[in-house]
Amino acid sequence: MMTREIRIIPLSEMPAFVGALMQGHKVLAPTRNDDGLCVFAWLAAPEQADWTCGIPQVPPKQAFLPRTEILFTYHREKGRETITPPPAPEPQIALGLHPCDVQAVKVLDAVFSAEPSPDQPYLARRAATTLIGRGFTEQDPLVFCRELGIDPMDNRDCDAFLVPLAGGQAEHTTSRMALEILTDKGVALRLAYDGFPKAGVEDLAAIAEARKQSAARGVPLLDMAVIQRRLENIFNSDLWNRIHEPCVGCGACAFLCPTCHCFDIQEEVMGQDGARVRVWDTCQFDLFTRHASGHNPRLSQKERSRQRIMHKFSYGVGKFHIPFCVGCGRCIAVCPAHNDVRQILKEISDFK
Amino acid sequence: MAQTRSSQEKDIYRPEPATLAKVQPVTEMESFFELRLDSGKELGHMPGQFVEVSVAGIGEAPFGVSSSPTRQGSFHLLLRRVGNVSSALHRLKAGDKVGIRGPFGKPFPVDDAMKGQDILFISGGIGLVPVRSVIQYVFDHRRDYGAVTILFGTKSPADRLFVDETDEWKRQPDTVYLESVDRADASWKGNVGVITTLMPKITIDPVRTVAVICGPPIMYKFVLMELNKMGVPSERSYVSLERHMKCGVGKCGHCQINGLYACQDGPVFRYSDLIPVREAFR
Repeated sequence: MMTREIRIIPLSEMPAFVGALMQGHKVLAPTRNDDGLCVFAWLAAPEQADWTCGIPQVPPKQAFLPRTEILFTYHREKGRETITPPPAPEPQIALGLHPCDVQAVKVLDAVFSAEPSPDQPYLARRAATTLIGRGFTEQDPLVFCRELGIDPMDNRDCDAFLVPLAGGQAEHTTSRMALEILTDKGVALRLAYDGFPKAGVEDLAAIAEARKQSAARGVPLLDMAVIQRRLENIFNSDLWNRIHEPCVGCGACAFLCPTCHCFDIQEEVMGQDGARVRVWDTCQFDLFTRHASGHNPRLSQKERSRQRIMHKFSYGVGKFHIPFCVGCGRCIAVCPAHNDVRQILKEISDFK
Repeated sequence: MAQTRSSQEKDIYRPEPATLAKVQPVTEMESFFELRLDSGKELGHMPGQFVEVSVAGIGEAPFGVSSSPTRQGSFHLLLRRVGNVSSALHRLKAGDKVGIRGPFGKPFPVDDAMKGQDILFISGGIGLVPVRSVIQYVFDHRRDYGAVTILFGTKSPADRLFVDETDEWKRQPDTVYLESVDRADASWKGNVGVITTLMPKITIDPVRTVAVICGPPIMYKFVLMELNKMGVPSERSYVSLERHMKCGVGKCGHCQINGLYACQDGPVFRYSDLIPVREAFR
């Protein structure tokens, strides 16, 4: 992608930059919640954006697929309903996304733009969003995006991208961010970044060096083709008994997954007024597939655990040619049963 | 990419208003519904497709359309009272409003693979509901198809559906209609036994026959085994599968059968396409 321009923002000036972004945009960014935990959340104040966060536990998918989203509201009178569509989404910025979370947005885009039924509510939010990625030089121990071929310094598919740069005496501490403007949507943020200096020759060299070092940190790639092929052959294997045994079926892995997008459609009613809402749902729940008759085609947690892995590494690849896992490690961090998708993938790869 | 939601025709989640023209109890648990779109337009479905029906204040659920598009002016549903939406629909009466999204899904191949062929219909219980749409379509284009055989099984005589209409089917040219009940009562003089007990009673040309199958999940395995014995190739058998569907447009994930979405890749599938699909008959 052609970089339109690069500005340098001292870390101390980031609140000013974020504050300027918040003029005219809702901004979703890494922030710490009341427990001190890093999460993606809508900012109420520029200082809330936290640049010490790695991959926040709550993913950014809520920007496009809110936990609860009104599809339409209605008012009933004399047995008739008047349906009102929700207002068009406000302009918004998803700020500080790790490249693996950017890859996850691509997965969501593929699913929700798929013909013959493109999903208007999703696409409207997506169109209203400016995506600002953020590069990372360190990799959290649970993150395995590199093994999936995602470089944490890669700015592809972003409208703008922040490259952390060390400087001055504290050479290993981020002291400033290089803001790369990559698309028209990025350029549209000009008012927010115009006050910051353009990158000088030394800055450009530092950015190039950061990218070079990141690219040099090669790791053995997971062979997704092998995993996909093997999954075809082990649908009825004992492997699934081991994998599902510790699982408590809480669904945390799916809710915190940046690519999991399954949803339920529910009704909220208050007297004569009501709303059709879509809410996050997960294949890990018994009710997800249970018919009104009581029959359930996926009877036990074994089938449900298998479904999650199959959807991510087989069905998704088959249909959209892209794995539905980006190696962010959130499901590993939150699983109360300590199920580790890396271990599961290893077992699948090694399965004879 | 869409700019806003102003283009409401494109909003895949917005139902359009329809009016119940007729509501009639059929069995203890099931009622018949005739509906008309308030726009005055036809539903525009093909046999085997389904619609999402909204009841304001309750929610939305998928139901197979029971009438043929050849019968214009309205469309039919027949629902068992089991869920929130089907129960709410049973409380409505003629003149009441509902919302409709759809039609969705793949229909039975009435205009291609089935054309010019003998047709064997096999349905159990409310599986007859979507199959009736196909039967009507075939009878309304009678010359386009060969011999018709209809097998219908229910738990008891009181569970039989469309009783007046099935009497008419018996009188159609080149048509055999057989029914059976799992458990007879004192008044029942007909066949007793599960649906597969009817299959040895019929004569078909297996390589000229297309089978149209819909029934409870347990039924498929046994019916398909029997069809195999009779020599009907799996490429000539079509099934309609039930799944818990929500969005109807291949997004929400509920109806996934391995990598397929019942709401878009189905609910009608060619049996031969499902043989490698491990979750299909569950």
